[in-house]
Amino acid sequence: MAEPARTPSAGRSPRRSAAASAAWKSGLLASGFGAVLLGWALLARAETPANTAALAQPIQSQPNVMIAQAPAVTQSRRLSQQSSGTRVTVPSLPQAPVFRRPITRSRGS
Amino acid sequence: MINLNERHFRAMNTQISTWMWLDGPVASVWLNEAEAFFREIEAELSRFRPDSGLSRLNAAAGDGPQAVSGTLRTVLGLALAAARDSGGIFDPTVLNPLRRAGYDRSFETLADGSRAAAGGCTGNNAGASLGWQQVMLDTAHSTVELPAGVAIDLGGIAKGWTVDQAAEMLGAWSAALVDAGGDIRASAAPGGEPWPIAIEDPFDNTRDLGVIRLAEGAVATSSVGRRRWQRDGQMMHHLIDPRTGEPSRSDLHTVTVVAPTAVEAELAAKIALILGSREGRAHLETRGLSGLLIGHDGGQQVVGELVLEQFVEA
Repeated sequence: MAEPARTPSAGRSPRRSAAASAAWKSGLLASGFGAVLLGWALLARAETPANTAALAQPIQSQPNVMIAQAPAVTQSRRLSQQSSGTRVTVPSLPQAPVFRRPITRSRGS
Repeated sequence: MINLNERHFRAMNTQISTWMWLDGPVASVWLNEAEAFFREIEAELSRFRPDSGLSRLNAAAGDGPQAVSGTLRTVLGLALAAARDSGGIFDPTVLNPLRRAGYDRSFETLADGSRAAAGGCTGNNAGASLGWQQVMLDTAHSTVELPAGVAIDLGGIAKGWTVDQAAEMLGAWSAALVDAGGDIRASAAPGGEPWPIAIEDPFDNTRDLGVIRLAEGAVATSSVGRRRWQRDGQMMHHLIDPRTGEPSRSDLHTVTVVAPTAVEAELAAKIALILGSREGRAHLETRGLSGLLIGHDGGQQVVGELVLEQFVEA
């Protein structure tokens, strides 16, 4: 009587298969954890004082634009910032029409 | 983005301009209202319109108390108060001396400045400065009595008052600016940016002396360089000195004043010009007003905190 043909899997040991699966899962878990650590490190590096100042610079420069276009508004805003101390004010965009020439003239009447 | 809406028209024998920092139909409605208001006041207070309330009052001088409109009563009341406050240097009863000097019709209808005046000067106008004290204003009954020979001109003060009223009317809706021939009143600054207003060089109207920034308040200029004509070879102008009944011969050519209202600015500029540089400066200083005094020689004196800047176009 002929022996039944063996499939490759039929010849693998069940104990060896379970060990390989656990190793694969551990590796995946470890690489994921490593990626998290790497990302954390990169973020921490980006938040050093020098880089923070560089990022904040465009926000601080907006009131300088206001100084040129609307002195009165800028002055009052500065005063409120000084008096409030730690209050955070969000700079707003200029709303006034920018006069490119005198709007009218006072002349003898 | 909000746009400036503007309107330009002629009234009170001068160019009127109004601006509102407001969009849409509301701005048009109120600019129309302001224009109608100017025309209404002109119809009531012009000395050049025979049917105006002021002309009817002048025509009835010597005929006892005359009923007047609330507008005429209000502006005449302001004029008499200013006459009292200035010791008669401002006097609304200068109309007859003004006519005698040759300013007997609207300046727009005077064909050319060299034409002789229709009426001759009597030569002696002493006592004309006392005219304002003879005007009997009864505010309770809204009547005015003028003695015979006294006539009223409310030209400058009426223009300033109308500018103030219009600016306050428009200013209830938005930042607004009203200009009547150089008498200007601002009601708030658009978006916080003060209105840039040039001060014309009185000796060269193609140039400006500088620019002031007006966020709130008024500016007005009086000058002997405008509304002038010749009579018998002598240069005449419309700013009568009530002490002499003749056009002012002070050392000042032009005075610009910044004040809270157009009426105050207009009166102070006229009074300072008639008083001359020394007393005119003191007049402004005692009232806390700032201004620019310009002499016939072109010399300039800044009074108070007036800041003239050179406008750099963006």
